[in-house]
Amino acid sequence: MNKNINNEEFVSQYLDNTLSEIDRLDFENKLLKDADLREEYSLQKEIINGIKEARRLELKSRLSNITISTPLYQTVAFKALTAVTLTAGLGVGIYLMLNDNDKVGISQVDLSQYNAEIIQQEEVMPEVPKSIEPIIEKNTEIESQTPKDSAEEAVVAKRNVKTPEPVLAEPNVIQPDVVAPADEEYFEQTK
Amino acid sequence: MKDSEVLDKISKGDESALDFLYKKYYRMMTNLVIKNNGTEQEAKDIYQDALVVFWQKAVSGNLILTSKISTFLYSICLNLWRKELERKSRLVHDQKDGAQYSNFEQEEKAKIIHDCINGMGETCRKILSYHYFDGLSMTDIAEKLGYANTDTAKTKKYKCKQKLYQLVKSKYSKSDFLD
Repeated sequence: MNKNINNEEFVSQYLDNTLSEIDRLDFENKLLKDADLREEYSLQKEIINGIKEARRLELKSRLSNITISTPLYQTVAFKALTAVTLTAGLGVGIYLMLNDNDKVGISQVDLSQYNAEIIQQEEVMPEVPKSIEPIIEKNTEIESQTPKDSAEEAVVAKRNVKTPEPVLAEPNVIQPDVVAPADEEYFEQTK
Repeated sequence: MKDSEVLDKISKGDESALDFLYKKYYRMMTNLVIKNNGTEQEAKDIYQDALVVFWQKAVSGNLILTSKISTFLYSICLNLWRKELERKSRLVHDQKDGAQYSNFEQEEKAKIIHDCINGMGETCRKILSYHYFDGLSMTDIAEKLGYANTDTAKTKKYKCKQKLYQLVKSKYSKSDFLD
């Protein structure tokens, strides 16, 4: 009996890591020879393993209790929610787009009414730009024609053949002499 | 909650941090198993085991993470699932060979011990779990269970272990007689 109690304490201290280095080696030596000590050792080891296993299962069952609700959320409800949000978002998007179009229509009408009022108030003005615009257009056309280098003449000549004549004919006749010199004089003055 | 906060909570033995991790990475970790020929139930089981392994490593406060918790958990899951697949393929071989007898005896012993542990009071179970599984120091255990000092926890732990030991031994000898 006495030997058994010693064994129990011996093993316990070995497993709790409270033996000195010498006692430790002594224990490991005895473990190889002494069958009783081996039995005691394996019993205590199994008990400790049992404690560990029980704790492991306790933690696992704690987690299992959580799972029941969360994956349901993530699978069914969550997916349903995202589907609903997406369709709702799409619906709202389309609605807003349609609504936007209406608003644009209304604002255009408002603007045109507003513009009409302005035009009515300043009826004299529109006549002026009409007379200026063609002059500017003709001017640019003339300017593009005037820098005719001898090398480019052939190319331009070909273009002239292809492009319809009325465009060329009109500007040459009507205005160029009046405006171009005026510009040159202006530039010379500023220089 | 940041990784460092989670680790801090676990090192204090706060199990709610474990719940937090469980919810946060559930899909990510279970998908790993499901995509590798596992069922939903197996995936859940592996993930829970992985978290318990993580808990045991982190609760001592000695775990130094060089990666994110999720990366670490992922690798534990991967390893556990690989082991499980190996075990399953071995099981098929063993059944062919009919080598199940020694396992049965071992399981019977484990069941006796398990029953004895469950037969103990909650305080004893906690002290022994915290000491042997969580690896908490006697100071931490004293604090967690509201004991006045470390010595009280030590004495309590010794008594609990002794109680369990006697209980298991008496049941063991009975089952030995039956053999």
